[in-house]
Amino acid sequence: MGERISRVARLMAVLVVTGALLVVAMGPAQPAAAQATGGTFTLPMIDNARMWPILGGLPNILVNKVLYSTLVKYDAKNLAPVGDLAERWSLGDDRLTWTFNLRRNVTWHDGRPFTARDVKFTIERLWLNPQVPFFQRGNISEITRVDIVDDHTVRIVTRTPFATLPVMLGYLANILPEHVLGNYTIDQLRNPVDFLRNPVGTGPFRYAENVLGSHVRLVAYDRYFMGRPKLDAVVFRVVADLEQQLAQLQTGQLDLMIIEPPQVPVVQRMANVQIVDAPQVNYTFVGFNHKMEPFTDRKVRQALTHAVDRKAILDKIYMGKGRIATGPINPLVDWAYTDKVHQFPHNRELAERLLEEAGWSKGPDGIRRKGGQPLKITLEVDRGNPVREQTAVVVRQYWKEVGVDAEVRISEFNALLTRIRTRPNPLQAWTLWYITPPEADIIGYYHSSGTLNEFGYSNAELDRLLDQGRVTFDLKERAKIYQQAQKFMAWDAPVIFLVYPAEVQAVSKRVQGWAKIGYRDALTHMTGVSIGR
Amino acid sequence: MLRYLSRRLIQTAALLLVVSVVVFALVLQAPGGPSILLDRNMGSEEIVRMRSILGLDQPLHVQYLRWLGQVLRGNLGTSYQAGFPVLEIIGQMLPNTIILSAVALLLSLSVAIPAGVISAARPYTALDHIVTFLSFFGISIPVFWYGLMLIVLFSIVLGWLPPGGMYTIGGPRTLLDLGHHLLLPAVVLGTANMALFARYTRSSIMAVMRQDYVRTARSKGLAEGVVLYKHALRNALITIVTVVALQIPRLVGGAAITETVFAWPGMGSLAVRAAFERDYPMIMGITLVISAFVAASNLLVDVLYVYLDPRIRYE
Repeated sequence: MGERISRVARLMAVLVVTGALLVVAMGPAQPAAAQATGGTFTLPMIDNARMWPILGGLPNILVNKVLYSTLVKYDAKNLAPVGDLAERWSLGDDRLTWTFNLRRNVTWHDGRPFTARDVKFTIERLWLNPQVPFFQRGNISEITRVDIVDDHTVRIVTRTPFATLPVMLGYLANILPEHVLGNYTIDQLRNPVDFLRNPVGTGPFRYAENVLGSHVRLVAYDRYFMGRPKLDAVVFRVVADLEQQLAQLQTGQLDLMIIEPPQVPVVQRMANVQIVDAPQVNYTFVGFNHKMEPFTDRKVRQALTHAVDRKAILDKIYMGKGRIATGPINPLVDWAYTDKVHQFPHNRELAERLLEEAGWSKGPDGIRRKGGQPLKITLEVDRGNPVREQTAVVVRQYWKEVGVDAEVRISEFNALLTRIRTRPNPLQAWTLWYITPPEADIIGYYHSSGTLNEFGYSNAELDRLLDQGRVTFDLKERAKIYQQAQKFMAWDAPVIFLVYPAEVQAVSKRVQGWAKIGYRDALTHMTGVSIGR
Repeated sequence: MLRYLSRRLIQTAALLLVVSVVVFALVLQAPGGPSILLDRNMGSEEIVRMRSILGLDQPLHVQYLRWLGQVLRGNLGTSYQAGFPVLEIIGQMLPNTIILSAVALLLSLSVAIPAGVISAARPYTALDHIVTFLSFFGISIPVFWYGLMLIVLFSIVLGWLPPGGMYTIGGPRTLLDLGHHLLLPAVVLGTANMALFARYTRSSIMAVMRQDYVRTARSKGLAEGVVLYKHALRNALITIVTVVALQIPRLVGGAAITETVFAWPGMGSLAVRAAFERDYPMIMGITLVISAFVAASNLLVDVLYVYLDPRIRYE
């Protein structure tokens, strides 16, 4: 009996001791950086990264930016294509054959030299292989083959003249090692588990560890062809929760996070953090379904655009972080961009007049009707992004003011996008965004044959211009064509172009040399970044 | 006994099968598709190709049978998101979750039992009311808010503890470092149970205190403390042990909210991300492993009863 009682007592003792140990363990915490040997740059990602650039997903894309290289990358100032693995390139007289001269001092992270064989392997066996789904194939599907001239020269041949090839070769187009992957079967190339355990790239940082659910750590590659980066390591932490990201930013565990405009005041109060409004090649829009009435009518589309006060949306919802969009080509693509196009200032009277002209007249209840049918529009938006949700609510209000029976439907991004991609697309209108390559070529999005044309938009005049732009190589000529395309699109209003939003970066003040562009592109300019004390 | 065991094992297998069918149907019917197909710049042809490679273009029952066939060969498939085998990912997350849940459980017991005893010893006094109030506070407080408040206080204002993660990245993985990262999530996770266990301890001790043998002990002239701790608490613990045992399967499942709020690399946060990303193999794998664990622990308890209580016989 006595012994049993003491067992209870012992249990209690164990519990107390455990508690005490935890209290002891609770001494002052050390910030993450204090233990690193030199500079470690830490940023969050919302889930594990796959480190296989054939597949998409933001965590994957971010890590691959520093682990791998591309043939071409974008200048940190004007995003013009400049050499990365390729030193220079030239176009043959047939306008189909491109010669790329590769850098000679490039080595893979396992020490083997990078050669033309890697380029041929990556393009032919991975990007163009119909048995391997490459998520960016649409960008490079004009390529037909790659010929090796010598170890450091390749010829890339396209099906038709393809002026944007250099830009597309810089867009999520990482080159992979032939000497590692060359013997892989199709199944292995679809998901190379062994390679994922030790990915080999040519980027400024090489793979060190991938602790699932926790982080990926990459360390400086001493033999990087542009010189060893200043930083010792780049760490990508898995932090799905935004509040947790903010806390880690404030305590110095993170050096960067992307915030939404409503979070700006919170971050402004953090003494150790600065806010960078980084331009990136993007735009937000309200899309219309062109396979459905009343969006087939240009006057209705124009009216719905005039009804919306985009200036107010930019000022109040985006908190001024960005500029009003005039079309699908971002001002960063400065050789092609023009704002000398039809503008859609907020004009309620004009909107109402255009709707009248289109045959939609107001009933006694204030709702417009045509042939007895009410003008009823459901605007759809994804849940969770404060800017987009508020935009949808405000646009509904603007539309109601001109007699549209408008409502908003909010659903999870995943479900929304899947429905938009259903054929036929069941949605009427939706507000989303696009991040695109730094290019004026928008065939994929607005050409009637475009594989990303979720609007079902089809216009022979625009098709002709976009086709022409793709095969024109002279930059001045191209600029003229795309300016015409922008003018045409602004008038035709296929969607409401809302805002070119700046990416709002919260960056630790310890970070030096960070390129002030969207972080996807800034990550390709990491060699000069360092962490001060 | 052997016949009983084999019958139970067959029942368990059937149960897991039913669970897997139901979860599979629910998960694949959820609106939206896997996130890896949702890149904004992924063309329609690639999406079709990818769906066919993943087998998502097949009818539901074909997909299920394919999955089941894999599972019977010991393969839970590959995570869409991470690209690694599901079993391997679970194998890495499970220990992290068990560490967090076990420490939270110990923490809650070490506070709850003394609190419950004190409360029961002086029922309806100010002390009891305070414990009762705190218990209800602990049960009702929303975990995500509570977690955030602790982060604000201990990480941001005081700077004593890191706000999240499990280890300092790049540093040595010491026990002390783990303790730093563990304390806040363990406290948050432990609080709700702490309150629950304190309530159970209080009420079961108060029930025991009315028993005849307690009166006998008191009439023998034993000190109140001896009566309370030696006689009453021991019997009251039976209830506590049962309640605690019921919580044990949760050690494996992890705590979705707490793990997410503190970026703890465990089963709970893994499950949340897998669900958001429609990582079908991952969701199925997690469900299967947790259900198997629950079924196994129930079976184990039933078998143990035979040894613990001679009156129980299974035929």
